[in-house]
Amino acid sequence: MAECSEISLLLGAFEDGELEPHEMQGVAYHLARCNSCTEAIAEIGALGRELRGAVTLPSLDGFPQAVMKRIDNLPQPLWKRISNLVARSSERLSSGFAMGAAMAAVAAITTIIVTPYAQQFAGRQRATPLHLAATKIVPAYTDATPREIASAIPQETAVQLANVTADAVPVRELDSVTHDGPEEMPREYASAIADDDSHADISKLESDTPNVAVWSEPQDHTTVIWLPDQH
Amino acid sequence: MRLSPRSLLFVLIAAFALGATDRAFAQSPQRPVVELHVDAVLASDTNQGMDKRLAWMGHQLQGLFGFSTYHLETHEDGQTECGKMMTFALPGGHILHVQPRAIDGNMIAMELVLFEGARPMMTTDLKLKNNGRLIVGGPRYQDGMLIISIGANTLASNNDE
Repeated sequence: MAECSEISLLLGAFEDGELEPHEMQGVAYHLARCNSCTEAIAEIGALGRELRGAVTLPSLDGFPQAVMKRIDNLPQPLWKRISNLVARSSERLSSGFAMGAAMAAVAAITTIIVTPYAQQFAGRQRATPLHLAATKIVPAYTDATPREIASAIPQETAVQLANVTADAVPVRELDSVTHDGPEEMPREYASAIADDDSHADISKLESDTPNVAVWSEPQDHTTVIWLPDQH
Repeated sequence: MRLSPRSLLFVLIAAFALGATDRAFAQSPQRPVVELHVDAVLASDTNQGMDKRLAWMGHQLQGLFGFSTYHLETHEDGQTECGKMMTFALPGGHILHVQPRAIDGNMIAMELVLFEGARPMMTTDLKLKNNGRLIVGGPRYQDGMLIISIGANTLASNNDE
C-alpha cells in the first residue's frame, strides 16, 4: 500500500470524487487505517465547504428573457421574419377589429335610441297635452270635409291626421305639432305617417301655411296634404 | 355563438365588400325612371258637377272634399330619372317641382316643392307607394280652390334593377 506522502496528493481529488475507481478504493483503504490522512481529508472537506459558502451565486432573474432576446437578435432568414411579422400583425389587428366592431355596435344602438326612430316610437306612445287637445277637436269633424277640419284647427296648431278615410271612419292615429315661430316663417311638420295602412311616408313637411292637414285614404292609395289658403 | 377575432375580421371584410358593391351599383349610370302624373283641379261650389275628364277620380274627389264643382284645369305626364327634377306649371302661377330620389322597395322617395309664384308654399320629402297618389289641396284659385293630384309609378323595365 502506498505511503501517506503519495496518498496526500490524491486526497483533494478523492474528496471531489474525481479519481478512478481503483484509486478511490486504494485511498479509502488507506484512510481506514491512517488517522493523519483522515484528519487531512477532513480539513480539505471543511475548507471546500467554507469556500462554497463564501461564493455568492449569481441571480437568474430575467435570464430566460435575456436569452430569448439574444435569440431574436440573431440574424434570421427573410421568410422567417415575414411570417413572424404577419403573425404579430394579425394578432394586433384581430384585437383591434374586435374592439372596433364592439364600438360600432354600441354606436349603432345609440343612434337607434337617440335618433328620430326612437322619437317617432316615443311619439306614438306618449300623448302630449296638445295631442289630447287635438284628439278632442277631430272626432267632431270626422263627418266634415277637409276644409272644415283645416279651418277648425287652432291657428297655433298644425295637425297631421292619419287614416281619416273618406267615409269618416274614426281617427286611429293623430299627431300634432305646435309652432311658436313668426307667422311668416315656414313651419316644419316633422312627424311621419308610417303605419301599415299608409301609402305615403312623409319624413319632412314645411309650409308657411298656419294650418296643415295630412291624411291618407287606404282604399284609393291616396294621401292628402291640405294647405288652406290664408289670403 | 362566439366569434374568434379572425372570424370577426373576415365578417367585417365581407360586409365592407358588400357595401362597396352596393355603392357601385347605386352609382351605376342606369338610374330608375319614375313616371309622374300631375292633374290640377279647380274645386268650387258653383254646382256645375264633375268634369267628365275626372271620371276616373270623381268618386274619390267627391268623397274627400265637399265641393259641388270639379274642373280639370291641366293634366301633364312626365318621366324622369331618380335625382332629376321635373317642373310642372300649374294654374294660378303655381309651379310644382318633383324630384324622385330613389326607389325603396315598393316606395318611391321624392321631394316636392310647391311654389306660388316665387314663394315656396310647401316643401315635403316623402315616400309614395308605387302607383300611389298624393293630393295637395288648399291654395285659392279663381272662385274655388286648387287641388293638385300627383301620381307616381316606376316603369316596369326599370323595376328589375
